[in-house]
Amino acid sequence: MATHDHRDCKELFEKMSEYLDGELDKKEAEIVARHLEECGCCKNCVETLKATRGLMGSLSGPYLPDDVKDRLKACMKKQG
Amino acid sequence: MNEIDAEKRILTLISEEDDEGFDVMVETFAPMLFRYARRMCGSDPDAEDILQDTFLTAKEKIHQFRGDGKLRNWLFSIAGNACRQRHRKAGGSQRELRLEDVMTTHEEMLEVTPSKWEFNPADRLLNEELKARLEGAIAEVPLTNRGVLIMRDVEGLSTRETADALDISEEAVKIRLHRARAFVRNQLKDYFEAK
Repeated sequence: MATHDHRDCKELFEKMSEYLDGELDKKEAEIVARHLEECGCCKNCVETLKATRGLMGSLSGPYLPDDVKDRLKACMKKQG
Repeated sequence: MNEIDAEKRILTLISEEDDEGFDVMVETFAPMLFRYARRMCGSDPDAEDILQDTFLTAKEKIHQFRGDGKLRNWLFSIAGNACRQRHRKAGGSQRELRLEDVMTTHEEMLEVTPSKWEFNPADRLLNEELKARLEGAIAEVPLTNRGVLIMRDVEGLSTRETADALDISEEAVKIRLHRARAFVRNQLKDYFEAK
């Protein structure tokens, strides 16, 4: 793994989620990708952020209690 | 009925002054708004209050819905306002995550083993301890960042939709989301690395 200037890491840190979400323009995405090839800690950072995003996407619930829907509908009817 | 068809049906019924439109609105959108409000407020009764405020406001202001955005996002924006108002009234913190709150050191990140973070999605759902830790971490995210995190990563709204719902710029959505994700990731580190 080549050595590199760690000052880039701080600058690129705030771009990591945009990189993961495919929201960087092509040029910026290439800069991040190149940096990740050289930097083990930023690679770990992106991979753990990706895992965290995946976990949040897999959350189910909390489920709406059955009676709440009925109360909401009744409340809206009462409003007229 | 999918969300797009439901939205068309709701708007048609309401334009015909048929109150069934509001019943369909509750049926379609209450579950996702409840998930959002429950994670924002922390209790079922508070979340129910938020939903009640949201749907009553929607009924009162439905004529203001331009129909050029999704009804779901409009309802999220009303619910988001209701959550923020409630939080303010309760004297909750208005703080937002700063870069230094979530930035980790090189040494900390080099100690991490990403392969330990890999899970089969089916296993994840079964892992109650991990789910509890994740929900606990989300609950600790300051409200300003949490709203964005839930809309984007849990409910799957796009950056644009989240920006519209919260009336903030897309840039602000990206910054708040990234810091919230990094915060949650940092909270989960001990759990995964201890495996």
